Amino acid sequence: MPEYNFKSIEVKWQSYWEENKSFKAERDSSKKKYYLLEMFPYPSGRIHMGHVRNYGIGDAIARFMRMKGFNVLHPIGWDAFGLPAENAAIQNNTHPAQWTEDNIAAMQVQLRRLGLSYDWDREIATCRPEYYRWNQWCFLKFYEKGLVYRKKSQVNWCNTCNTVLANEQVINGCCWRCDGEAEDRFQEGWFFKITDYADRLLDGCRQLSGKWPEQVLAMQSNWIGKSYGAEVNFKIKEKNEVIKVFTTRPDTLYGATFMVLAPEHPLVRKLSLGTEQEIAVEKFVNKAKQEDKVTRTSETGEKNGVFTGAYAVNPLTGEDIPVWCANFVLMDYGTGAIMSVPAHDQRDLDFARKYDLPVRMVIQPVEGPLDESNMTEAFFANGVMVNSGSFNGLFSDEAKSKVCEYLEGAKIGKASVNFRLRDWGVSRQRYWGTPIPIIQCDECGLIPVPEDQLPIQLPLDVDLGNRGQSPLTTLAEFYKTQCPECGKLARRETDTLDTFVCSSWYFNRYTSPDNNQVAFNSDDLDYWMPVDQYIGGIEHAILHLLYSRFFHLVFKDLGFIKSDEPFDRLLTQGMVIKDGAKMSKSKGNVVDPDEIIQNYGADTARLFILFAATRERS
Amino acid sequence: MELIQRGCSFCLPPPAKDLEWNSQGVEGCYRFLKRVWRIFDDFLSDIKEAGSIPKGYETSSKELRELRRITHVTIGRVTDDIQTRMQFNTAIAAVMEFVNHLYAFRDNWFLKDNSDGARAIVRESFDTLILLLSPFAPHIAEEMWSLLGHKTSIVQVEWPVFNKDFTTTEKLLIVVQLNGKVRQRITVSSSSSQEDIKSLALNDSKIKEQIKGQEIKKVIVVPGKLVNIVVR
Repeated sequence: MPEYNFKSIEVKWQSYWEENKSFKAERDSSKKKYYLLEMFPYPSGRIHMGHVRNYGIGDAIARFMRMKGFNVLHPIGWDAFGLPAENAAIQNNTHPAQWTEDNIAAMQVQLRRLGLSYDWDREIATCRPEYYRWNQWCFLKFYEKGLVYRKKSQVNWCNTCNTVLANEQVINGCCWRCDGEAEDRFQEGWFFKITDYADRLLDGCRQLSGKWPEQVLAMQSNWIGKSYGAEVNFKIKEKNEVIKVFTTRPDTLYGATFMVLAPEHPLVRKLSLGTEQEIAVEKFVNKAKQEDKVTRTSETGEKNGVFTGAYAVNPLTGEDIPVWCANFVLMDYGTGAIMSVPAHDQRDLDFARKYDLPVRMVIQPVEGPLDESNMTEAFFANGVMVNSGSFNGLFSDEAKSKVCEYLEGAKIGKASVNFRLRDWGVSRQRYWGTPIPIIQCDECGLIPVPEDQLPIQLPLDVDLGNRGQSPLTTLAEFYKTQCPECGKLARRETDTLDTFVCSSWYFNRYTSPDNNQVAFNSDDLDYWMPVDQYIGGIEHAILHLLYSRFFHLVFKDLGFIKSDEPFDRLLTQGMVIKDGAKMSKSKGNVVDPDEIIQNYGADTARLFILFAATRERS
Repeated sequence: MELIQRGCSFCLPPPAKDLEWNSQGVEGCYRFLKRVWRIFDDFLSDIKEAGSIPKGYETSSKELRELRRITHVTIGRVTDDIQTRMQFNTAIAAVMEFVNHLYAFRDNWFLKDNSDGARAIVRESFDTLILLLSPFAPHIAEEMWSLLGHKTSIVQVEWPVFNKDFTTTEKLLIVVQLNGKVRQRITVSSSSSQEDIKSLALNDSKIKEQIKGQEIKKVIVVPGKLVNIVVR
C-alpha cells in the first residue's frame, strides 16, 4: 500500500460526499432530529484559524450524532450585509455586492477543503433579496405587533463608521467594530421594543442554566440589569417641578441630604435659570458633555459637580436639600437623577466630602454605631434604622418594603423595578443593509410597505462616492415612491437595518431556505427547531445571542414557533492564541489555515485544532 | 508518542478555553495520522477478509483478550467525551493511546494465531479505530474504511457500541506458599504487576498470621501462578 497521501484521499472523499449529497438533511418524522449550528461567518474573504476551530468542533459533533442515528441538520450560510463590504468596495473601487459574492465563493472553496459535513443545499446569504425580503417581512410583523417605533433620541454615533450604534455595540465607550470613540448624537431612528421582553429574557436565563455557559447567562442577566427598589418623587422648592428618582435603597431615604442630576437632564438649566448659579451651571454642563461616559462613571474618574441653585424637599424628613448637577450621573440609566445618601453610598460620600455637603447616618451597624462626622467609608450593609422617624429600630432590609408602602400611601412614590436594558436602535445610515420597509407620506404619516410589495430591493446601480454618506439618501429612483394609502408622492425610508437583525432569525430560515411563499414553513420549523447545539464565540454573549432570544420570543407570541428558546445548548469556544496574543492581522501572528491544509491536510488541521493545548483565559 | 507524553495538562482543557497555537503540535498530529496509516497497512491484508466475531467466541490468547478490552474501553471513553462532556482533546488522546496499544500488540503477537476468530477480533479493533477517528479526521477514516472492503461510506455507519462485559479485567487465582507448602489462595487482577501480587500475598491476613515473628528471606513470584515466601 502507498504512503499516507492526504492530498488524493481528501479530494477523493470530498467529491464523494458532494456527489452523493451525503449530508443532505430531510425532514423525517420517524427519526429523532438533531440541529447543530455554528454561528454563520461574515464573508471576509478568507477563513482563519478561529473558523477552523468553530467548524471543526461543530463537524465532529455533527458526524458523531449522525452515526448515533440522529437525523442531523448542519447548515452553513453567510452573514453578508455590513460595513466592511462597503468600506472594501470603496477602497478597491468595486461594488459591495461583487466583493461579498466573490468572498463567499472563495470561502466556500476553503470550507469544502476542510471536509465539513454541511448540507450545502440549504446555504443562505443575508444580502440576497431571497433572504432580506423576509427580513423586511419580520420588521413588518414586529411593526404590526407594536414592537417598532421611531423616535428622536440620544444615540451612539461612530465617526469612523459614520453610523449609529446600538447600546450593545458600544464596548467601553468605543465602536465594537472599529474601536473608534462613540459619541452622543440626537437623531431620529427606528427602535425595537426589546424592553417589553426584559422580564421574559431574564426568566429564560434561569431556564437555560446548566445548558448555556454560566458566564454568558451572567453577562445577559447583568445587561438586562433588573433591580428592585422604589420610585420616589422629590418636589422642587418654589418651582412647579417634580424630580423622579429610582433607588434600590428606599431604606436610606431619610439619609438623602442632597440630589444630583445628570448634565444632560432637561431640568438642569431650568432650575438654575435666574439663580446666581446660572452661568456656572451652563459652563459645567458644556464641559461635562465633552467627557466620555466611561470615565465619567468609572470608579477612578474624578467626580465633579455644581450646585444648581435650587432645592428639593426630602419627602420623608421635609427638609430642604440642595440639587446638584454632576458628571457621574448618566441620563440613560434610571431617570437621570439620583437621591444622594452619603452615609450609605461611597460615591455619594466622596462627593459630599469634596463639596462639604451634610452626611447623616440612618442605618447603624448592629455591632455598634459609626460616627458620621469623620467617616471616610460609607456603611452600605444592612443594620438598624436610626434618625428615620417611625421606622427607627427596624432592621433595614425589612424597612425597605415598609418605606415603599408608606410612599405609596402618601402618593409620593411606589415600589418599582428598574431595568438597565434599553430599546434596540436598528436604524443604520449606511448603504449595504436591508432597506427598512417604511414609507413617509406627508399626508398619511409613516406607512408600512404592503407585504405584497416586498422585497424593497436595495438598488445595486449606485455610486458609493464619498465615504460615509449612504447613496440611498440621494438616489431619487429609490426614495421617490407613492404612498400606499393615498397614492400621493411619498419618500421611502433610506436607513437600513442593523445587520444584527438579519442574524437574529437566520437559523429558522435554514429549515426551509428555498421557500418563496413564507419566511419559514411551520412543519419544518416544528420539526427542526430549536437548534440543539449552537457553537460560537463568547464575544456574541450579549449582542447576537440576546437579540436572537428576543426574536424567538416575539415569534412565539406571533404563533410562528412553539419553543421558548432558539438555542437549547450553547458552546462558546475560546480564541486561537499565538505568541501570547489572539491571532490577528495587525499583530502579524496569523497562521493561514490554507497553508496547514496544503502542507499537512485537512484531517491534520482538524485533529490539531481539537486536540491542541489550551490555556485559561485571564 | 510525543503528544501524549506531554502529560495531562495537555489533555484537560475543554473547547471553551483559548487555544494556544504551536507548530510542533501540528507536526505531531500529522505524524499520528501517518502512524495510524502504517499500523493499518501492517494488518490490512490479514484482516481484510475477516468476518465478524462469532457469538460466544472465546480465545485462550491473553493478547487478544486484552486487545478486545482496550477496544471497548476506548469506545467508552471516546463516546463519553464527545457525548456528555464535549471534550475532544481527551477523546483524541484516548484514540492515540489505542493506536499505541495496537503497535504493542503487533510487536507481541504478529501472525502468532491466524485463525478466523483471531483475525475477527483484530478486525473489530481496526473497524472501531476507524469509526472513532472519523468525527475528527473523516477523510483518512473513509479511505481506510473503504480499503477494508466496506461498501458504504462511514456516514451511513452506526457508532460502535460499547460493551461493558469486555472491559472487565480478568481475575487470576494465585497460590501462596510458605517454604514451598501451599498455605493460601488469593485472586488478583490479570493486569497486576509482580510487585502488586507480592504485596497482596504478604498482606493476606492468614499469611501474616503464619509468618509472624519470622524473618522473610526471599519472595519468589511466578507470574500468573504462585508466590513462594521463604521464611526462617
